[in-house]
Amino acid sequence: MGVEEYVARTLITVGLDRAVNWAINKARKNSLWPIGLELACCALEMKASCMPPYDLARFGAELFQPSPRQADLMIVAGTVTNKMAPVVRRIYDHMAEPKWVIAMGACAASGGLFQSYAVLQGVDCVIPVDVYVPGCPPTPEALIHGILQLQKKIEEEHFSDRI
Amino acid sequence: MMMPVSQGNNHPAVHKLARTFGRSVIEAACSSGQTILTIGRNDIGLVCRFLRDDHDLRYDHLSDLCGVDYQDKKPTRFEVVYQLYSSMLGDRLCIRVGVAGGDRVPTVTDVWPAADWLERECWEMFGIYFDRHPDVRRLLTLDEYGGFPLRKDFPLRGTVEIVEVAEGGVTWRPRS
Repeated sequence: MGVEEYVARTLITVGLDRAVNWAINKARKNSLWPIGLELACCALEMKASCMPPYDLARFGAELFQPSPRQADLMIVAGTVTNKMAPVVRRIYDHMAEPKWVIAMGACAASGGLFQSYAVLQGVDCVIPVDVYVPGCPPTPEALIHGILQLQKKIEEEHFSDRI
Repeated sequence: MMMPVSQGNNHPAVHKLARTFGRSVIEAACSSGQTILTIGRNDIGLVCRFLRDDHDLRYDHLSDLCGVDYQDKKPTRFEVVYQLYSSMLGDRLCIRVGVAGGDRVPTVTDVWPAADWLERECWEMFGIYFDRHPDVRRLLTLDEYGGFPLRKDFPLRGTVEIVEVAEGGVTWRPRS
């Protein structure tokens, strides 16, 4: 292998792929536009995390979108009832790739204290979840920690996995 | 200022109903200052219309309608409870109707349209069927959900759980 070939392969192809991956992941993780599924009391903590004392905007995730088509991140905040499950799935399907999901609170993660006939026992029965944020409800700090964990996860992904 | 309405057997509705419907008024009781009437199942529609239209009573607001499951504690297993309010008298009236399993209760949607969702919920949760209800469908659970969840013999966590939701609909499996 000549020097030119080696340089071309490492710097141009492998290097380019790495650089592009780095740049795209950087862009993705620092502009997570969430759609908030405000299903119960967790929603209040989710809103609080956007307020000045916590300021989710520091991490680029403050722009809550009213439409799933403009969102990258779905924050399921609260109790998902069986009746709501098809709606949650539908909203998730409407989101364009790349998309991630945070299950916020005990209810979204496992049904929480509602071990009942009417409540879905964890939103992961219906949609894939990337990060679980425990708590009942989680504090805004916990949600922000969850978003930071998700950012780490995005950094480790290859951008082409989510197209 | 509204005068307080006398309660229990002296409640004005008791006399009027007894005069008009006779034996359909099974019992009049008073609890915590509220009059509770027990009415025969078949006449409930007429009684409610009378209570709404009578010039001295005017129970124009149905504030709640719910079911109760007494299981073995009473000879008639179920009960439907109507909470009425008269904005003219400023008085609340509670009406109870005993319903055995499989019995049908006349609807009051034609008296108070507010009864529509309340009766749907009552049917969905207890399986008490309301005759001539315009739109008997499940209200709070999914359409294909089986069973009546608020009956005492229904398991707390239900009999089925959701496995998957896709375009085609919801997939259920029996709960272990």
